Amino acid sequence: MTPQEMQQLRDRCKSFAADGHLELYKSTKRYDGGVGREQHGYPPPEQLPL
Amino acid sequence: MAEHYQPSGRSEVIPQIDRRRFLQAGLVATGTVIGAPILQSSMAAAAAPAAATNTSSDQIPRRTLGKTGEQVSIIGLGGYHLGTMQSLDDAVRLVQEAVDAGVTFFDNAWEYNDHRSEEWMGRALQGRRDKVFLMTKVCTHGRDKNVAMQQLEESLKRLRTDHLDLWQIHEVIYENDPDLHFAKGGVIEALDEAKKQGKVRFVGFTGHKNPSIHLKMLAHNYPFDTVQMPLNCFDGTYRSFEQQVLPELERRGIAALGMKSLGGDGQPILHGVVGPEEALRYAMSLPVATTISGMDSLNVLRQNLAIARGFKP
Repeated sequence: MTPQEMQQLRDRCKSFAADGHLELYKSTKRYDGGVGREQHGYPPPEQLPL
Repeated sequence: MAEHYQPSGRSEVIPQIDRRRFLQAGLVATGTVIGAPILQSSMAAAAAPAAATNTSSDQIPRRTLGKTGEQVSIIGLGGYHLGTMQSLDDAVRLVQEAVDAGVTFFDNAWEYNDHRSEEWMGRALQGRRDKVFLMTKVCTHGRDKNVAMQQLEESLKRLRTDHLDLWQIHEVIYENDPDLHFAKGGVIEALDEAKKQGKVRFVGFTGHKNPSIHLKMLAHNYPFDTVQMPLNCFDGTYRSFEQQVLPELERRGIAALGMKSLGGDGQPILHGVVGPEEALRYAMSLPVATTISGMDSLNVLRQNLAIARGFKP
C-alpha cells in the first residue's frame, strides 16, 4: 500500500476502533496465556464465576 | 482441537540435524526511550516499508531481519493455530505446503496448545528444517533462568532440532514483567547462556498489551534482535504500537515482527469493517521484517500466499 492508501484505511477504521474494542487483547486479560496468568496470580478464565 | 491430541510419552529416537555453524551478529542497542504522543496518525504514514527481495509475482518476497542480516519471508506461519488443527496429518500438510511455496518464517511457543504446536511443527519440518527460520518462545513469565533453560531443551526436542534461529520471551504483558525478566538470575541470563551454547542464534521478546511495557524492555538497552507486537490498521487510536514502538525499533535497527494483522480474533473482518486482503496488505506495508499470521487450514494458507506473492507495498 502507498502511504496514502494506508492513511485512508486508518481513517476508515478510526471510528470503529477508537476505544480499542477491536483490540481487546490490549485492555483485558481474557486473551492472555494460561501459564502467564497463573504466574501472575490470575485464575484460568474457565474458573472465573462470571 | 485438543481431543485429538495424545500427550507425548514416547521414547522414540528423535532425529536431529547437524547444528549449523553460525556467527552471532554483534549488536549494541543504545539510546533512551522516547515518549510518544497517543494519536499521531500522520506519523505512522511516514514510516517506509522495508525493502524486499525475491519479488517476482510467483514468489514470496523476503526482507532482512534487522541487523542480523538474515532474510525471512514477509509472511510467517503462526504456531498457535497450527496446534488447533484437526489432526497431525493436516498440520503436516499445511506446513509442508507453506515451506514449498516459499514461507520461511515459522513461529511457535513452548506453551501453545499444551506443547502440541511445537510437537506438530517439529514433525512437519522433518527434512525441511534447513529451509526455514525457526522461532519459538520461552514462557517463564517471571520465573528464573533454570526454568527457561529447561523449556529450551523441551522445545528443541519437540521441534526436532538442535538449535533455534530465534528464541523470544513470550507475552511480556504485565507491568512488572520487565523487572522480573531483567532481575538477577532471570530469563535474560538464559538468553545469553543459550546463545553461548550455540542453541539459539538470535533473541527477542513479544507482547500484545501495552507499548509502555515494550518501551520499558527496550530501555534496558539489551541487544535484542527482534521485537514482536500487534500491528494492524486498528492500532492507531488506542495504545498504538505502530506509533510508539515501531519508530524506536527502526532507530535501534531491531527487526519488528508484526502479528494480529486482522485484529486478533478477526472480529473486524467478520463485521465487514475491512477485508482480509487489505488488512494483511496494510500490516505487510509497515516497516516490519515479517507478519506472523495464524493459519488453520489450507484455504487460509493459500489466501495468504496469494496476497504475499509478488507483494509490493
